[in-house]
Amino acid sequence: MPAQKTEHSLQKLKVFGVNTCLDNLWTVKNSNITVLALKPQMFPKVLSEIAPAVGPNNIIVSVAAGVTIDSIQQRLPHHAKVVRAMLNTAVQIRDGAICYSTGRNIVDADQELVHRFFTSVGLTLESEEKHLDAVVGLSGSAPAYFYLILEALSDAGVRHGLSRDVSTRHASQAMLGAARMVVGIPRQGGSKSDLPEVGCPYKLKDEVCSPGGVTINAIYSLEKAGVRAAMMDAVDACIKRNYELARLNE
Amino acid sequence: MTTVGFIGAGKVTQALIKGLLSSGAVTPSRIYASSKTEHSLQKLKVFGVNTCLDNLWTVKNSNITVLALKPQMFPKVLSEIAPAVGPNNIIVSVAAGVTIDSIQQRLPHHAKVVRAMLNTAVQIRDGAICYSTGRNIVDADQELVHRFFTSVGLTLESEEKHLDAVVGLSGSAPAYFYLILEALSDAGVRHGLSRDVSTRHASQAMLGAARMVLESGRHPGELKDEVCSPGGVTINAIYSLEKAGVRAAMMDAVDACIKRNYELARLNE
Repeated sequence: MPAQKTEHSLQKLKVFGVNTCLDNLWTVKNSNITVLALKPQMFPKVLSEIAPAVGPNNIIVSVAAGVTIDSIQQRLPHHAKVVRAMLNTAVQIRDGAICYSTGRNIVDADQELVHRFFTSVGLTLESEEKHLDAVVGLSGSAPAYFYLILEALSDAGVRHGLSRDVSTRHASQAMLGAARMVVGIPRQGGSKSDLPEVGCPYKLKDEVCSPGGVTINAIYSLEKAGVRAAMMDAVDACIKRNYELARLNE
Repeated sequence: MTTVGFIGAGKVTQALIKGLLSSGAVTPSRIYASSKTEHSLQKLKVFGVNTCLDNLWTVKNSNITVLALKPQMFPKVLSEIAPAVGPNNIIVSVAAGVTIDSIQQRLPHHAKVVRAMLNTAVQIRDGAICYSTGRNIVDADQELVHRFFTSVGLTLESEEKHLDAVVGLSGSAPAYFYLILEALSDAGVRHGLSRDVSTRHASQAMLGAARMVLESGRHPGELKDEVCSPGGVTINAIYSLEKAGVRAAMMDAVDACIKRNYELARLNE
């Protein structure tokens, strides 16, 4: 049940057949879980606007980077239930990476609801709020790193005579398979929210590097290029920018 | 029903058997595997497949016979099995750098030969597979081979000359991604997350991104643009990766694969 400032922005949602309105209060009154998917600078205004409607049946879930639970809690009634989540683009294909933290008024039943809500669209972990900013660099922004890497691999294939389509499919399928080996396979007989046993990247890497073979030469090339540090720097760049935006919005 | 044979009991055979069995495409009783030593066959016995020390037995009992051997073993093994290779056999080599020609030369004139490149994720049915067919392969054979491989991953057919490039793009590529995941996991740990949580987040993000590209059919560049909001967090990470020359580093890794693949093929001629 989305509400929004303009009818124009609601157009894109109408295709899903959801209920739409220009009134944010209407959204809060009609929902149990209310997701605030706004730019950080919009929060003060919108929170003041919806505060009167926030009751014991509402769980307010912010998905904005850098907006703290505290800053939300301060602008809502004292009893307001607040959750802060980080997620990424792949929620649209139900393979998102989601991490959330809960405010002081969230009880077990609320958390179960929120956890189930997010689990329906991806891998969901709960954590302390202080970790959410690091998670932005690791899974919030990370899809972009992988798209960049896939484009480069696809270019490599094209350079070596493969078509663009074949190159991209090979590279992305290889990425998918490798990721799944680490993400892990759901345990037999476990419930849907049970986490699989996570794979170990360095063991898996060793397993595919046969002595004197092809793959270990590629590893040498990546190490010479400092790719590991480049990935760690990218995460740093995210966290730093996230922090800057949060300061701007205080 | 199709029976599958494996000559060579190493990691590739184990990975393929695992994937095939979990796909239900073949049952253990229809899989035959042989190898030089009883010791190497031990790892396959847990799958409940038929094992033997005789490579000829494998060829006689299988429709699709996978040669999962080191390239230097090929001349010897091909001479050994040649007498048993008949019109019902499709010989599938999964060895990097071994040409269809070099196999065809050592087998009867009518022998049906396929050369394939695959990767480790066949064991979880998400492999990336590419194959080329020899001169005696007819449509029905190719359909069989295509179905066989599709049961364990994304399967594309291509001209043989492209298989060496594919090694760099999907054969070896899982290792690039494991390296990248370890680095991202390190970054998370550096910022206070546990190893487990870091690895889960990074790998799930990688999984989602790969699926987005595969299933949308959209260009990775377009998907990247979509997640880079003006002045936001993500575009700063992109800047960092560009400064570090990560794109060229990936292209160099593919080159290193192809070069080494070529060297090994020359050694084995």
